[in-house]
Amino acid sequence: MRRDAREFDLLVIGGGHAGAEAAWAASSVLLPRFLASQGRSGRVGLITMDPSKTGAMSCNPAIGGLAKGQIVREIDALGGLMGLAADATAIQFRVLNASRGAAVHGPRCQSDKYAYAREVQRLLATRPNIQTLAGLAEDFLTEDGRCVGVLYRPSVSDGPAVPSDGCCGEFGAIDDAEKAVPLRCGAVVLTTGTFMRAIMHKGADQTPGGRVGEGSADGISGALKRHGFELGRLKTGTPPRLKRGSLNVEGLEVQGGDAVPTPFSEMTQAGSALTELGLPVDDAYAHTADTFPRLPQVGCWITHTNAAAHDLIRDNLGLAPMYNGQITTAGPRYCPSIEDKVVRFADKTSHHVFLEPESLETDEVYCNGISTSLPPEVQDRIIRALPGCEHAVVLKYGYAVEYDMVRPHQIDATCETKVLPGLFTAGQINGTSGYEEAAGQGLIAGLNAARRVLGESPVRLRRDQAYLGVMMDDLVTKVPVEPYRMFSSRAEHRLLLRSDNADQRLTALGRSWGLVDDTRWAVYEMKQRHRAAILDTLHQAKHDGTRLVDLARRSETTPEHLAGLFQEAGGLAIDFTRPPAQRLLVSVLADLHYVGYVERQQRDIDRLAEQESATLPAAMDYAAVTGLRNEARLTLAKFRPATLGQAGRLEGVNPADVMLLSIHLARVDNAAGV
Amino acid sequence: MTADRPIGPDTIVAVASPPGRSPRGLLRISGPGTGRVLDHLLKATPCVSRRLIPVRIRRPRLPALLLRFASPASYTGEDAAELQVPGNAALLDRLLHQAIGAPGGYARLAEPGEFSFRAYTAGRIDLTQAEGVAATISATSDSQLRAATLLRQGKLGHAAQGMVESLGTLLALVEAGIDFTDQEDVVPIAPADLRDRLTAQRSALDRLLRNSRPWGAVEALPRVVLVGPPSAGKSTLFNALLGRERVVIDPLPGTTRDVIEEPLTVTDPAGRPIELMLVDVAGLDTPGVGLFDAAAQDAAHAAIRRADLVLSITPADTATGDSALPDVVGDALRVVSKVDLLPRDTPQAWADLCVSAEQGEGLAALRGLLGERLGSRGVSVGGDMLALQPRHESALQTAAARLDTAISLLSGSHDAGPLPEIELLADALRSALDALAMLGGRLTPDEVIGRVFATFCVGK
Repeated sequence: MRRDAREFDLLVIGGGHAGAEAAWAASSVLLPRFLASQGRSGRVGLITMDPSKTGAMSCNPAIGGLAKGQIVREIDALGGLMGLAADATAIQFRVLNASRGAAVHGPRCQSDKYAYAREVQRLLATRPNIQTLAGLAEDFLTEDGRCVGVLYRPSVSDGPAVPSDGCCGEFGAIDDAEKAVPLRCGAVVLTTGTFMRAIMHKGADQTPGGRVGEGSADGISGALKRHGFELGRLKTGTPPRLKRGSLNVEGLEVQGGDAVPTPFSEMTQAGSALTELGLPVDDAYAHTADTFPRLPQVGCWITHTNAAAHDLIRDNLGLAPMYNGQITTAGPRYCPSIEDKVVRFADKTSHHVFLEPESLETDEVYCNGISTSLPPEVQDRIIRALPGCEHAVVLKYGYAVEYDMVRPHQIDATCETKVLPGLFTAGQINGTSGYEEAAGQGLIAGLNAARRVLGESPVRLRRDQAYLGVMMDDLVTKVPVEPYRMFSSRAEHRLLLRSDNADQRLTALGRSWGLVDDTRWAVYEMKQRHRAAILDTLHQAKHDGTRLVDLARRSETTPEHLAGLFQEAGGLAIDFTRPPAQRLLVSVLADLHYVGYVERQQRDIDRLAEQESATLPAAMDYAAVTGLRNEARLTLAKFRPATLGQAGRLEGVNPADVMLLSIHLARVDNAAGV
Repeated sequence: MTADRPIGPDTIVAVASPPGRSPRGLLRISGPGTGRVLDHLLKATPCVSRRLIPVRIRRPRLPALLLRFASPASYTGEDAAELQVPGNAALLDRLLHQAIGAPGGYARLAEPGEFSFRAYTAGRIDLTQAEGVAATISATSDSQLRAATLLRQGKLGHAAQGMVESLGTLLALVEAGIDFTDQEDVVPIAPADLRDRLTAQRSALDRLLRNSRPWGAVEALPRVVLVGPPSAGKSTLFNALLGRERVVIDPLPGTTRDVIEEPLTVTDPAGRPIELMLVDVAGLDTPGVGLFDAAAQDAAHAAIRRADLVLSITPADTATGDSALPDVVGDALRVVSKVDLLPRDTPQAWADLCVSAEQGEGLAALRGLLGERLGSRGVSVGGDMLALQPRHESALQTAAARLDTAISLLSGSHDAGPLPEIELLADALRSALDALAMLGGRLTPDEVIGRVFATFCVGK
């Protein structure tokens, strides 16, 4: 296939969760342009070394959880693909904290990892303006300090990548430069995951590569450095995978899913709504519009470590790369290796281990709880010390992986790099961990890269609008010490940022940005009409002389109870036997429950709104601001915050500094006659 | 629901007169809510702009003067007002609290330099003036920084930090129960335990508030007013005590017409220096005669009413001991002046002290007596009492209110079992911590998460 300079508007490098979501979002925004030009422009290229691995779940095949589930709901509210793929491929659904208030519900699922990757690939293929390019990116094309394309090297064969030599793997060597093709485009989204200058550790064994059997991307790391980026290094790890048939699960505790599964996507179970609206079921929504859950549901088994396993670990700490100095990079505290658990919490004699089936198609079992980089023979012995695993066969050993990241002061909350405008980064390259965090950034990066292509100004989500806003703001104002993971406690407006109201918070915004298609928008509008009708009835109808809204405020009122009252009151043309309508009731009740608290938070938000939205020019001369303390001046010049609000959250900048900045800004504006 | 809605600037309020020492107190208000703030503070608010209008304050009932400006014809370009009241720091403080503490929060305390900043953005002051504003602000924030550091090193900072420490630990325990609910290693705190520990924190906060007083009251020095008939030698004594010629002296009666104030440092019986405000007023007219300027007489009587200690001066040549002290509500010292005019050791048994300002006789004894009488008032920032600026006090009160919310959420729950309304509990604790951050010791969400990791083995 010939690729000339005008073929793509936008290129996404990497086909993980960030890359897939970025390509999807960009294709949504560029679709009108693609259709208007009969396919001559508005095209998105997705460069990945092995297209069959697009959407792969490298670690735990689970999506969602506390705060992460909210992120998936937000991605869905913004027309993203993660919720669709998870709903279509999950083999267990469970809402964490289900017995608590709606603000801390954490929808989670475990997916069949092969089905998941296939579904992501299927969804991407439904978009006429996405083209997958097998191969790798070696360098960026630049012009006037802006990124205007990549140097792309197509894969020679369709087979799995084979490292060409011991030193830098398939990605790094520019040994065959004549095969590389310059691809020009309007914007590039770079999502390297754990692949950039990646080294896997398993005992003393060190292999270049970001995932078992795959290569490492050294070339791109060097290219970033050449273009002036400062890189950091992070570490993460993964546990061993066991063979299902070799386990004796008899007698182990079983953890099942919820009796009534809760999907992530607003489009799941929307089939009857679409029929009512007279709309066809688009390809993208076809898998779950009517059938949900689509795959058989399974349980997990719970086993535990014991004194024997802990002794083995302690005896072999000298062989653990995290403890013998082989790895110096800090790993995540929230996902400690079993070595860490045993050393740091020495008084604990046992830890839970969840045995989670990875797929219905294979017999791989994920060993959740014992992430490790000990040598294989030690891993074997530890595993066999666990109840039920006495004869376990290890299919894939645990390992730790170290990889390069771009230090966050070089990135804006739009995901665009400040060092090389036109280049956007998303996912682990920005210092995060987790599929959901990666996908969320992919969406932001794809959206803003496409807006750049169209000549539109970039957009940011605020901390009070979405967990995605909290994440982006945290990423660009904090110095990373470990891979960043979302927790609900990071969101100061947690009562506002609920999973049940994600669509209410974001879908209209997504629509205005071109992320939400007509079908999704019609479903959303119908839900809003239902919401309004429900509120109307709540305030008008009475039961035994009490207004329904006052009954609804009582904590003992359940959605089922309320549906019964609506039935009695009559007049509501909503079928409350449908799951989407039941979920809507949960959301209405949550709004009523939190109303007082939300009003107080809203006052705080309003008070700070002006400062939050005041933008600081990228080329701001902080030396020219009168009265700034030296520490503040240095911090501001390094991070170059986009808004006054961000400036105030930087460590080393105090409120007086922010006041001086705002005066300086007003003066500049005034001098310019604004 | 958080869609972009138009957000106007809020209303700000501040004391514009220098703290403590000015005869006239000035409260400045700016922003769209100016009218509402005035309605709250005053009985019957006039609408007239750009004219000084007499008004009455609601609480305490006092006369005041109001100057209103309608947008855009004001310093800030917004609706604005200046309220002139007697220069009493405690009164100003009270008004400030009424303005910011009103239900619904009519106004907030202005940030340093914020009036000038608004003036600049509204185009009311020019570039050169803006430079000056910037300089002023950095000066203000420097002194604030010093003040904040002092507070932080002091009792208030320690108390606040201790509370942040304890509440941070409790919040970490609550947050662990939310974000790591699926982790077997996370042992949630029992409702009864949390309730007890929050109640203890609430009591500590109460003690702190009880043992503190407004900063303004500390800055308002005790006022010592020299009172006496015309030509009693008050001004001579005033200058002698200060050790310099502050007041013009003339043998002609009625020379002093204005109220004159100067700080004076004396020592209390324990040898600690204390500062007071020495006030000289016009000599008092004989009632009914009306020889002198009525305005000067009114000012003198007002000063006497506000006095913490009155020095009743009687010249030795006319001393009888029965002179009435008009308007004196507080403590008084009877002083016989010009004793050099009398033969030595003329008995003045009714007097507390005899002085001769001319010859310096009795001055040391008078200073000692002032120290003795005023020292007991304990107006010293370094003492046991905590001095609170309005923003600090409101921070403590906010923290207290949030803790009350948290405790009431726990009140109906069983002693063991899961925490009720866990996300609302966390919200109450988080906002209590944010309020205490004002006093030093901000605890970021990252640090709370760090405590979770340090306490529990989290992570699969």
